[in-house]
Amino acid sequence: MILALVGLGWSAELEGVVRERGTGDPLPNALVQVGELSTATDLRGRFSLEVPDGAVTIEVFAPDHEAFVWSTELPLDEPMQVFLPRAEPTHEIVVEAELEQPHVSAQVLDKERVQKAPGNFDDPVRLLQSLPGVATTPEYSPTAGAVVLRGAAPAESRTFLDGVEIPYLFHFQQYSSVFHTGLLDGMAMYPSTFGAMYGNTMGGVVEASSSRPDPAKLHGGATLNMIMGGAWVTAPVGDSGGMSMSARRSFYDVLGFDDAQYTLWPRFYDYLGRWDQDLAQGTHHLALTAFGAGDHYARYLGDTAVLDPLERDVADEYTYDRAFHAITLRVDSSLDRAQLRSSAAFVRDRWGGEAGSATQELLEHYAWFRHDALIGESDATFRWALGAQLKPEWLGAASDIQRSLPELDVEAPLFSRGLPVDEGLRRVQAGAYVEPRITLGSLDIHPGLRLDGDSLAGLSVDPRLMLRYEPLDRLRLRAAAGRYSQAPELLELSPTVGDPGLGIGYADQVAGGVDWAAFGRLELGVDGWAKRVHDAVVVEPGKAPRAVDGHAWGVELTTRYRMRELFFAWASLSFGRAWRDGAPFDFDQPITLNVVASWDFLPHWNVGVRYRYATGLPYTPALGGRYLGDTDAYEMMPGLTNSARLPNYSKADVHLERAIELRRFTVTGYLEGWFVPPSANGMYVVYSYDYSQSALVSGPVFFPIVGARLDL
Amino acid sequence: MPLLLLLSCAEPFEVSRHDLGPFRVAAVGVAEGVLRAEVWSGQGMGHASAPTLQWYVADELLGEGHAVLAPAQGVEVVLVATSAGGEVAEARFTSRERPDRLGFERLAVESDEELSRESRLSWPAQPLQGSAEADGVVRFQVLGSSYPGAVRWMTAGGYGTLLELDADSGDAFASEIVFSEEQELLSREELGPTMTHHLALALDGEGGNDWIWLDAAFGLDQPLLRHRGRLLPVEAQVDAGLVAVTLEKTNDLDGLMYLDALAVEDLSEQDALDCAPPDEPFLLVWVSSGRCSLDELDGARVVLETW
Repeated sequence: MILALVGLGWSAELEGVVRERGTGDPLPNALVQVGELSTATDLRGRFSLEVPDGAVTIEVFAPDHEAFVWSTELPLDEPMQVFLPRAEPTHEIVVEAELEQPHVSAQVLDKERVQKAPGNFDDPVRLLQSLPGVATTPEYSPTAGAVVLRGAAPAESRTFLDGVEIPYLFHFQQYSSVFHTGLLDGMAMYPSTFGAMYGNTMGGVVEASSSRPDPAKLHGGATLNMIMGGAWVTAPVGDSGGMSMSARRSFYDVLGFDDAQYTLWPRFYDYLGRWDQDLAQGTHHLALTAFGAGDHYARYLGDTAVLDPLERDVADEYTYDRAFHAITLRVDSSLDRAQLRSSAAFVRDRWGGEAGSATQELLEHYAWFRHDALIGESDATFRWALGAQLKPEWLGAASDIQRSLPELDVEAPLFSRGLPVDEGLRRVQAGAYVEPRITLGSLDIHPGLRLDGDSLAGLSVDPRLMLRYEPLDRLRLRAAAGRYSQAPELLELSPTVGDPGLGIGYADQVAGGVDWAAFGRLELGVDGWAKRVHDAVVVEPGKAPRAVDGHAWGVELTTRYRMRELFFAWASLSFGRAWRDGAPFDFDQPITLNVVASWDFLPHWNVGVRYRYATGLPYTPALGGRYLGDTDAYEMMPGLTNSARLPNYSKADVHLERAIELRRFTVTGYLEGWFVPPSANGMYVVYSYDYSQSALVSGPVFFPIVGARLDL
Repeated sequence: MPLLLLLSCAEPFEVSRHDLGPFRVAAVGVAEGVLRAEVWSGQGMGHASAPTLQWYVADELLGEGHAVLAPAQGVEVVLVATSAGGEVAEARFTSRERPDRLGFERLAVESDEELSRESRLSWPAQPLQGSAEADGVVRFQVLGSSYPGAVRWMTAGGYGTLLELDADSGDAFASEIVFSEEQELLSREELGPTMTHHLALALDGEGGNDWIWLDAAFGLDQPLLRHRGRLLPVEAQVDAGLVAVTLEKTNDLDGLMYLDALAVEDLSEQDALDCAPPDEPFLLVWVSSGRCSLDELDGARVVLETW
C-alpha cells in the first residue's frame, strides 16, 4: 500500500505514540488510520505510517477507549502524541465473596474497587467495618478501629501484611490504616472458620497484601486530605525486578491547633519499601519488604472538664509513643506441581509512654518464619496444602508506675495495671498444618489438622473441616467447623502484671452459607455461624488478666447488585449475639445494617452513598462512686456488666468525586460528608468526678472532608 | 480526625471536684490514733443533724461515730457515711497516722486583672490578719513538708473561687470566676463583702492525710476571731486566747453566728455537750465534720481557742 502512494506526490513518515489519557500507559494494537492507510501500534504504543503530504484526517481507535479524530496538514514538525480517554469509567465493586479462597467465610476488598466507596477518605481499609460479621464502632470513639469479627475480641483476631502479623492496623482512632493504600493490592477478611493455614487465633483473620511493581512502567501518585499527605511510586528495575516505596505523615501537629485535651496533637506516619525480583525465568519470585508505622501524641490525664483551667498547669500529661518496624523476605515458587511460599520476617514494636514522672515501655521483638506449600495441579482431584511456622518472641516490660491509671487501659497497659515492673519475657511458638484439598466434581472437601505449641502456654491440636458444593451453576453451598486455639499474649503471662497460669484458650466454631446469583446481576448470600469460647483471656482496666468462657452466634444476609458497571449497590444485614462470662460481650451488637451504592453518573464523575446502622454497644453503667482517701479520687461502683447500651448508631456518608485526566496523569478530587442524627451520635459515656452524674459524649452531626490524589 | 475531637461534646456536669456541693466524704484519715472524716453536709459549714459514720475493715464493722480507734497501719478501711436524709457516701483508704499537722499562712495580695498562674506568681504578698479588700485576693500558703503532692482545694458551697498557685498555695477570690476550657476568662462576678470557706487537703499518697479549713474575709468591717484557719465574725473586738461565744444556728452557708464573745480564763462557761468533751476547748471542725449538729449547738455556749 505504501508503494502505491509513491509517485502520487511527496510523502512523509507519520510517527507517533498512542497512550491512555490519565495513566500515560502505552496502548498496543491501537488502529491508526489515515484515509485508506492504516497500521497498528506496537507493544510500546508506537506507530509509523508512510502518508502523502497534504490535508488528511487521522483517526486512532483502541478497544475500550474513545476514538481520536484529527484533521491536519502533513508533514508534521514532530512525532504525534495521542492520548485516548477510556471509553467507560473503571467499574467498581465494593466487596465480593471470594470464590477462590480456601476458607468458607471470606470477604475480599479490592483497592481499585472500593476506593470510591463513601466514608473511606481514600482509604479502602476503613471499609472493613462495613463488612458483614464485623462490629460497627462509632468513628473517633475509644473503640474506633477495633476489628471485632463475629463476636471475637480485637485481641483474638490477627492482622497480617504480606503474611507478617502487624501490631496494629489503624493509626490513632482509625484516622487511617497504617499503610499507604497506593501500594495496597488487596485485603481479605476471614471472620471465622478459616482453613488450617492460620493458627494461634480464636477469632478471625485480616490479610492485607502490598502490590508487586508493574514490570512495564513507572507508576506513582500522591494523596492529600485533611488527615495526612503522602506519596508512592513503583518502578521496574532491569528486566525482572522492580521497587516500590511509599510514605505518609499526618500534619495536624505542624499546624498547631490549640485544644483543651491535647498538648500535642496526634502525629503519625507510615512507610513501605519493597524490592521484587524474578528468578530463574520467573519460576521463583523474591520480595524484600520493609514497612513500619508510628503514632505519637500527648494529652492531659483526666477529664479536662473537671480540671480547674489553671490547675492544668500542674496536672500530669500522658504521652503516647508507639512505633513498629518490620522487614520481610519472601520467596514464591511456581513449580510444575506445586506452589511454594517461604517467608522470614523480623518485627520490632516499641510501645512507650509517660505519665507525669512515670514511664512505661513495652519493647517487643519477634521473628517470623513460615513455609507454605500447595502440592498438586490446579485441576487435580487431590491436592495437599501444608506448612509450618516458627515465631520466637522477646518482650521487655518496664514501668515505674506506683498506682493504677485505668483510664489508660487502651493506651498504656502497664500504667493501667499500676504495678512497677522490670522484666524480660521470651517464648517460642511453633505450628504446623496439613490440609488435603479434595475436589469431587462440584464438591470441595478440605479436612485439616493443625498443631501448635507455645513454650510457655502448652500445646493445642485443632481439627478443621470445610465443605463447598455447587449443585447448580448459580448456587453454592458452604459449611465449615473446627477448633481454633490461641495462646495468651506474652505480657499476659508476666509473673508481675499478668498470670503465668493462663493456658491456651480455644473456640469451637461452625459456619455455613448459601450464595445464589439470582438474576444475573443480583447476588444473594446467607451465612450463619456460631462459636463457643473457652478460656479466652480478658484484661480489665487495672486488673490482672483472667480467662473466661463465652458463646456467640449470628446470621448475615448479603446482597449485591451491579448494572452496566456504572452502578453498584451492596447491602448486608447481620443479626447476632455474643456473651462473655455470663454477660453481654463488650462488642455485642444484635443488629448491623450496611448499605452502599455508587454511581458513575457522568464520565469522570462519581457519587456514592453509604448508610450504616448498628445497635449501640453495651457498657457497664456506674451506680455511683466511692471516695478513695489515699488519692482524693473516686472509683466507680459498677452496675451489672454491660447492662446498658449506647444509643443505636446510624451514619450516612456521601462521596462526590471528579477525575480529571491529563496526558500523563490523573488528578482526582473528592468531597465527602457525613451525617449522624443527633440522637444516634453517642460515642461513649463520661462521668462526673464522683460518678454521681453521667453524660453522653457525642460526635459531630455533620462533617465534611476534602481530598485529592494524583496517579501517574 | 483531631477536629472531630474539638467538635465532640457533652453536657457539662453540675458537680465539680473543686466545689463542696452535695453530701459527700471530703477527706478521711487518722489523727492521734483515731479515725476521722470530714463529711460535707451538702448544705453548709455544718450539719443540721449529725450524719452516721460506720467504719469497716474487711467487711467487719469496726465501730461507729467520730471516736473509733484506727486499726493497724496499712489496713484498708471503708467508711459508710449516711446523712440524716438518707444520703449515703462511701470512702476507702489506708489506715495511716498523719505524718504531719498542717499549718498555714494567710497573705494579702496586690492583684491585677490578669489571672493566669504566671501573672499571679508575680503578685506581691504580705501577711494578712483580718479581712482583705472586697475585691481583693487572699492567698493561702499551706505548711506541711511531709506531704509530697499538691494540696487539694475545695470551696464550700462553690461560693467564691480558689485558683491554685503552686503545690502548696492558692488564691481565694470573692468572685465567681468562669474560665473556658482553653483557659480564657469568660466572666468574673464580684460577690461584695463576704466570707468564703476553703478546705485544704494534703496527702502523702499512702493514706496519711491531714486537712484544714481556711476562711477568707473580704471587705468585712466586723472584728474577726481567728480559730485555727477559721475567721469568726463577732460583735466587738476580743482579746485572743480562750473566748466564750454563744452559737446561734443560721440558714446560710456559714451555719452559725458567734454571739456575746467574751475572753475567759478557763472552760467554766462552756456548756456540756454530748458531742464534745467538756474538758477541752471546742473545735469548729467538729461542726463541719458532722460530729456536732447545728440543732445540738443552737444556743449553746462554747469556749474556743483563738489567736
